[in-house]
Amino acid sequence: MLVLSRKKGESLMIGGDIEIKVLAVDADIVKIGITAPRHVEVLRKELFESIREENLHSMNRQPIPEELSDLLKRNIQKK
Amino acid sequence: MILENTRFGTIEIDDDKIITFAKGIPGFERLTRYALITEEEGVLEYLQSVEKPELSFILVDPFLYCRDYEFELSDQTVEELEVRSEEDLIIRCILTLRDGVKNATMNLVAPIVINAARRLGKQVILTKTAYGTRHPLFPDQVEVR
Repeated sequence: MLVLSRKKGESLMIGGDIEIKVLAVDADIVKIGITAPRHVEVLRKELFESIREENLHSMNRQPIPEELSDLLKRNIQKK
Repeated sequence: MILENTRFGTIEIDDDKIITFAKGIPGFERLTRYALITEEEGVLEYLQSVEKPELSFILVDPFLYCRDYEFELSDQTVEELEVRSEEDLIIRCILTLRDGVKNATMNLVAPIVINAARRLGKQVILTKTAYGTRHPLFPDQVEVR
């Protein structure tokens, strides 16, 4: 991991087209501005991790209980 | 393509039915090719990896179980999936079985979006949403433990 220090108002460039700027620092909260091309997805890591974990948990391993199909049919919400 | 699967036995998937998830899905980033399998006379659908036969996810149509579910596709996703018409889109959510089938949940934060016309898919992660990753599918059935 590359570690470097930046002051408020200073930026980093990642490649030629991603800019990360420190907008404000207040106690242990840092406000960051990101300018990136549209195809670059920026997500809070916790959110990404929660989806990842949920996916790993959802991986279909056990035999599916027969009851599931039935429950799904019976619980379709009416418009 | 012939696929040996523990659940379905041997299944044949036409190459033109294969859906490409260019970036994989979180947790399975290296697997990019899937098929959408619908069980005969069932409501169950699966997203089956064609690269890893033991990997599949149960999918549900979220609009059937959460009538007011809605989200907006970002320009980025529209571009990535080469969406030309809304009618080409298939929207599903991944179902998770936990502590008994009645407590099954679906992930409304990260729907599976497929452009059927181009056979491109993506698990979209919604950033501004009030929905949860563990939305109960059968709220009336939940067993209290």
